[in-house]
Amino acid sequence: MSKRRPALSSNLLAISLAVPILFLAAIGIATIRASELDPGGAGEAVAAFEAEVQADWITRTVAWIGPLSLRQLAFFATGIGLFLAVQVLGYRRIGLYAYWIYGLVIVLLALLIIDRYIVDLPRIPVIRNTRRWIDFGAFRIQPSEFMKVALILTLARYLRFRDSFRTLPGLVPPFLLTLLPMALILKQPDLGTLLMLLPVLFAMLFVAGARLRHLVLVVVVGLATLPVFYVFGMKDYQRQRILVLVRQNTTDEKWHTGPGYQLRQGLTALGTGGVLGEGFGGSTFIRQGLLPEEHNDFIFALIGNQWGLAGCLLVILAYIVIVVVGLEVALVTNDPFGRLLAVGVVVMIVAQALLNICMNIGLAPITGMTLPFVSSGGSSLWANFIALGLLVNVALRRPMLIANPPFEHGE
Amino acid sequence: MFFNRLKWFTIAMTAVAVLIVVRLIDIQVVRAAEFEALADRMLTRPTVYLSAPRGSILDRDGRPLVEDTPSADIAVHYAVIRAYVAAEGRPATEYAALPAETRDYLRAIARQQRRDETAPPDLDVAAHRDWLATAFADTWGLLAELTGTPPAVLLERAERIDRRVQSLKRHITARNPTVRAIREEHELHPLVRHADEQQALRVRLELGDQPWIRVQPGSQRMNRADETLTHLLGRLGSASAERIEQDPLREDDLRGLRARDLCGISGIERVCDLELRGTRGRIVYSLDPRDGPSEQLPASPGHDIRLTIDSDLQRAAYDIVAEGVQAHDHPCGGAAVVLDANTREVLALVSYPSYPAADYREHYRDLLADVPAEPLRFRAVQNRYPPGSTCKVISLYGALADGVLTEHSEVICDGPFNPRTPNAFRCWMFNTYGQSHGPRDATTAIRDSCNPYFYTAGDRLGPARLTEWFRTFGLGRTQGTGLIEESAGLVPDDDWMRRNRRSAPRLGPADAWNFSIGQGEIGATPLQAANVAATMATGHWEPVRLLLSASGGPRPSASDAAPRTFDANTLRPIRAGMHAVVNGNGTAKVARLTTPGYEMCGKTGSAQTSPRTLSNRWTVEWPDGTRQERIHPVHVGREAVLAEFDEPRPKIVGRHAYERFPTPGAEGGLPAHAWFIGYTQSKSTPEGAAARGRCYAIAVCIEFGDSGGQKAGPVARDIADYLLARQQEWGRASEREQELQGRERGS
Repeated sequence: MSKRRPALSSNLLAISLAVPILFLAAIGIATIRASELDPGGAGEAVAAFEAEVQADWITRTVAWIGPLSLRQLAFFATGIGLFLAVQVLGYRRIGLYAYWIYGLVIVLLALLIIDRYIVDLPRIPVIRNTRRWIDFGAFRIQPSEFMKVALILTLARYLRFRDSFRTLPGLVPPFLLTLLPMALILKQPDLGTLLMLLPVLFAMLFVAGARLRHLVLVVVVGLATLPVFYVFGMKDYQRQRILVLVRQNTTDEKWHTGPGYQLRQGLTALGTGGVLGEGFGGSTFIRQGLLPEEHNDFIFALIGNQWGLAGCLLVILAYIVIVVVGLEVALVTNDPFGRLLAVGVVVMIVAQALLNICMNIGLAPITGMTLPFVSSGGSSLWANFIALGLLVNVALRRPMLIANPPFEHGE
Repeated sequence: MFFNRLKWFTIAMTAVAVLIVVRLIDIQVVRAAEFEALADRMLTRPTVYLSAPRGSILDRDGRPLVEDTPSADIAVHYAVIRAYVAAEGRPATEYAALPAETRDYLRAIARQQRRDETAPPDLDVAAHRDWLATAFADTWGLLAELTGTPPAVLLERAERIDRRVQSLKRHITARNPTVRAIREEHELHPLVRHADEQQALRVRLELGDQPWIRVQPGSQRMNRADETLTHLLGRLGSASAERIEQDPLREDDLRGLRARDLCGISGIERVCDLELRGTRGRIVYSLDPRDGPSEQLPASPGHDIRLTIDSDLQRAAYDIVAEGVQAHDHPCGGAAVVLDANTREVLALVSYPSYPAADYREHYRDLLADVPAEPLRFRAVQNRYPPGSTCKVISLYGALADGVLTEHSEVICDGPFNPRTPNAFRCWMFNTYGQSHGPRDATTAIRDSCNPYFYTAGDRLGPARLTEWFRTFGLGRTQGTGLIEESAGLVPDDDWMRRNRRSAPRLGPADAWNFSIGQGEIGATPLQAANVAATMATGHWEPVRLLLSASGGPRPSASDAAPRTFDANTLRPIRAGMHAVVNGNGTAKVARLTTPGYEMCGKTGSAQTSPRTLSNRWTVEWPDGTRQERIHPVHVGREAVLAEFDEPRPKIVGRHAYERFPTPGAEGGLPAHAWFIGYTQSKSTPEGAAARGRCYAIAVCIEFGDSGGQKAGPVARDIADYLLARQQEWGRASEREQELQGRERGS
């Protein structure tokens, strides 16, 4: 049981969060710009701009900055706006609307499923045979990204004054709250985002004090069903993703030019980066467009190519700083809701970052998953900024409570 | 507890982070070089090689016989081909109706045209696009009209190109799913190959400003020679794995043979393949294509080859041989060789019948099946004929040189040579007229070609010495053309007999008798026979030469056999005999030259031989003992015979000649090849001396012509007359010229 109550000055908080976040966003935008240089990658978008007949100065400027990086800049700016907007209300006021927010996102997710199974709705594009986005003309949003934040809010609100989850039946409601959106996202389908909800749930239950043996039991049962799931539940391409991981060192060239292509191109991009990297734009390998998804899920590999091991370590260090600050916020907050919120946000960001990096370096199977604050993509950036806003909101509105620190259950 | 749990949570996160860092160090530091190499491998673009023109083959006067001539391929951009194929030959004239790839290309062209200000004025963007789409569509009609290719053929070719590109694209995208467009989709593909100059010029004028059409320069091997040189020039073919393996330059990146290269398969193309072969150009790309090629070498053509062949003489001699072959009862084939006796340059190598070079590809089966004419045989160097009486000159030289006979020793011809075998070794005189020659000495024996005289010579020399003398005169070895077709002929020794003649595995006296008159197993090519004649004329033997240097100077023979000089005294009676054969009361009185100041010395031969088999009767037997017979042309082999039977296949138990050529007559005698070997000399040459004046050695063999003197002699005479008359005409022409020049100087 800890008694410590260190003061967390808001200046220190601002600096220690702003530096890593700005660093990640900056390296992300720079890397997205670099990805637009090569012909095989997003650079074709540049070519499309140039191809237009009467290019006015706006078009030319856009082409010069790069349409993708410009979009990312815009998302970054609006993301900051969302971050500030979250500060307007106290987090506990926001917490009052947690279930409403949860319900709203569930409705959005349900719309995607309705479009798939029941009736063809407008503004829901089918991209690569998936329905993940709702089209608003200028931009598209991906409700599943916002589901992460909504789930954190809801779980925090559900768990805040209880200890019912310390019994096995009491674990059912939080699991149901998580499994409902998971089921909806499964049908989009979007395996990567779906799997990211589980660490949030487990981490929040864990720090809230759910009994370890219960959680272990659930994990063991889950792991035990995995082989069965592998054989009967998975589709061929999903099984192949796991094989890609297992067979990454095979000498079978056919495998590497087939299913193992993406992973090996990623590893090659990292490996050619070396210790200090090839500089902005990356090596010829990158500029020849040989790394697919370089601005997106495999942006970490491109960072590793451009700035080497040093760049990779800096990115990891940035996430470590976020974790440390986030956990510090959780520790100094007495409010149970705030505490859970802080932990949820930290887990959401860091688990996704670690998993994305692991899949880039061949330690995890490849699923569609962005690197938080770095990868191209508006919804992911917005959701992350909202989550960050909640974290800062918690830090800035510490209630002066006399009560015992919450969740300090005797073991 | 919360703090504890956070601690555990942090420890777990840290563990993952440490794992990641370790893994990153493994990838970016430990295995960095490995990934460097892998990236280089993925980036490397294959070197592009530019094919080089092959050198020309010239005749001795420098006239081209075979050469690579520039020809043009008319190529069209794939995007335009795609639109044509997609619309099944009726391409759309609106931009919107074109396939997506074509639209992309069209926009690029439109941009380019606006940049260059070559676009038609007063057109807005949409109208300009439609205008270009119409231009794409019009290309096809114009192309068909300008090149005279029917539109259906163009469509068929376009479809073939489209199929190839699409299948290539499927193949590549299956390997690398990120590839969107392959190189071939941005290239021009040849639609009309080997367009002639006029077509190319018309296309260039009419369509030259359109970037989707290009007239690409290339080259094509053109055979400018007539059919008389087909065998000698040889042909090209794709390099086989075996040829590549044997190629001395295979380590040479620019000159070594590669799969699918054309290389000389036969004839001069084969002999001089290394010299004729050009040096290909090479374009090596750097890893980053924006840097441009890192190396760019142009192709350089191969060297020209100048032959000693006189193509006018070749043509004339071919016609004379053709006439000679057609004149007799069993026309089938013949050969003639003309050498310059002093330099041993081959002036003509005639094999009749021949065929135009293009027929090899188009009518190969017919050529192969044409027995007994066998047009594919290069008779002048490839066929081994029994030399018959022509080699009596060698038997005689051997006998005189070894001292077993002297110039004046007389041998009495009774008809049969050996009383114990009255039917086997007889004089031709006895066979034909039932008479005998009576006593003959060296000169008269040659003149009358008296068999018993030479039986005696052979008998006294013995088979070992006799065959040794044959070899001394160059029989049994190649003569130095270097042609793979050239046969070494055959002078059997004990070893050969042991392997090939079961009944009598050693050379015996009867072999010496047979060989001395050029019968039995001994075989010679017309080229060898011509070289024997040249040896008799000049008194020395040396290998022949088929090539001249580029400037027309001498070039060494392909054979390194040492020259050999013969004794002038010993040759004297032989030359006198050869002189008498034509100019005295000899066997070839018809071969007397009509050219003033020149005479022919020669020796006839009528070499008995087996008739040529045209078809075989094959007997096959099944395991149960049933038999069947099948008759097939002679070129059908065992496998082809068995191919018509189903499993279980029968065994072949017999093969017998069925049809033969010439059909054996009622009298049952063996047919004979007609031979004549001889040389020309100035009439001022003293009797028995080495030839003076222009000395051309000629050998003629008319297959199944029976009488050497009657059939081959006139052919040799006509060839020699043609050659000498032409020389004298040239001489008179140059005299006139000198006279004219003198007059001009005088005035």
